[in-house]
Amino acid sequence: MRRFALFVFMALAASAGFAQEVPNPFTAQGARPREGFFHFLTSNVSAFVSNAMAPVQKTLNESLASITRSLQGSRSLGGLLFVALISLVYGMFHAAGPGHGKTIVSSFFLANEVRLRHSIAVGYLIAAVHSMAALSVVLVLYYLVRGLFSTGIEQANHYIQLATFAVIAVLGTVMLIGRIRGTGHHHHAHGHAPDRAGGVTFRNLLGIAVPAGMGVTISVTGALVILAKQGTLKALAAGREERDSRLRRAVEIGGAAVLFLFGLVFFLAQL
Amino acid sequence: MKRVLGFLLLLGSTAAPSFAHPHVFISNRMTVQFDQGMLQGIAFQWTFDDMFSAMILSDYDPRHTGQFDAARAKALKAGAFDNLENYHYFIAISFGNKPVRRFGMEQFEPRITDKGRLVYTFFVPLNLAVGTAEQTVVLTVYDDSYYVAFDLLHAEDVTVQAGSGIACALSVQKTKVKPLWPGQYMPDQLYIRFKESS
Repeated sequence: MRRFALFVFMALAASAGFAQEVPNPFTAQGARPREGFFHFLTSNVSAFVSNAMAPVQKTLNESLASITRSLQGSRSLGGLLFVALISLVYGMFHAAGPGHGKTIVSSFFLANEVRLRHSIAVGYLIAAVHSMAALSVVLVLYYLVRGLFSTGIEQANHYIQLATFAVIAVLGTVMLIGRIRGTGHHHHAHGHAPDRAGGVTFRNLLGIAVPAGMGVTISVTGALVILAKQGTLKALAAGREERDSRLRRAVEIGGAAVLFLFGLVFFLAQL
Repeated sequence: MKRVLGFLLLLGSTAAPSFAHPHVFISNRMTVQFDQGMLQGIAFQWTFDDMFSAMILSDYDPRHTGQFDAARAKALKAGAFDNLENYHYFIAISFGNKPVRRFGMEQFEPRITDKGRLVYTFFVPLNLAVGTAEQTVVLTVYDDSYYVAFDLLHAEDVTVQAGSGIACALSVQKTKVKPLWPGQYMPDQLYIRFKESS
């Protein structure tokens, strides 16, 4: 039962990886509703979550805008803290929904032997990158792209997203090739495999945080994926060291493959 | 191997296609208009959330005038409305249990509220004759990709403009058998029942 529960969790955590990027139907010229195989593979759980959260998100959206408007020019610390709190809650609801790049984090953690502290680090990095992206990188790129292509904000966002997804695809490609070639982290097939996080450096984490932070995400999923992965592999490979090693490789390759596919699909969808 | 296959099966079965969380929130208000013995059509008023409004207005009202002249309204319609035709304007209509596949779009007019929110008003003509037998029009407004989230539909949000001689009743029901468009959830449907009043 526990193994099944862990499988279900990992499936749900990774399910957003198949989400197709949806263009703005108002402004994306030529955009049409998505159809085909994936369109009919609906997730009742995701639909329920989305439907349940949308009214809350809308309320928070309106509250945030209203409070922000009322605080224009104000120096009230309490007001600013309240805005920050609303923003935090809004961000949690916003990012908990599917389609926010959580698969980027999950896939990376599946593909690497990481520790919980890495998840915390990624969470802060993603939040920081997202803030910087919103305030500086995107604005700079927006005016640059808008000026170069004489386009509106939505089109500018489109090009920025295109570049972001290309980065993800390249990163996933590198990771996938590395895993397949076996140049990544290896586990020793001895009694208890040392749970070392070899190969995961700050640069690796930043390489994940930058593209993921261009959207909104949370790294709690990363921590949960780590726990689920460790628990799953441990439960499956109890007493079977060789199978344990193969399963770890399979999960790591699978994670890198998802990351590669994620970036590739989104990149192609934006063309 | 069975477990791996089972895992992959679960992974595929829970795939979440085009599941963008709502980026746009719309308050939808409708007016059912009768005139000269006909259901003329339905007037829609969409009020957008602050953030989407700000994004659109940054392009189409960059100087914050609070209003659109004819040129800007035309540009806005072309740049931020006409593409909805590919999405049937998020509107699904059926008459007598038959879906209305094609419908027109008239009288589009954008405006800006005093709080800076963008509002679209437009009219969908139906031109259905009102008879002695009760007829039913079923209307659903939703985006099954969930990029756009419409308010939950309530009968109180719908106004009827009918002169004497026409009886019209409104009710809201959840889609029972299947949605008018294949999608991820069952939206609310507005039932408009009308006939000549005795």
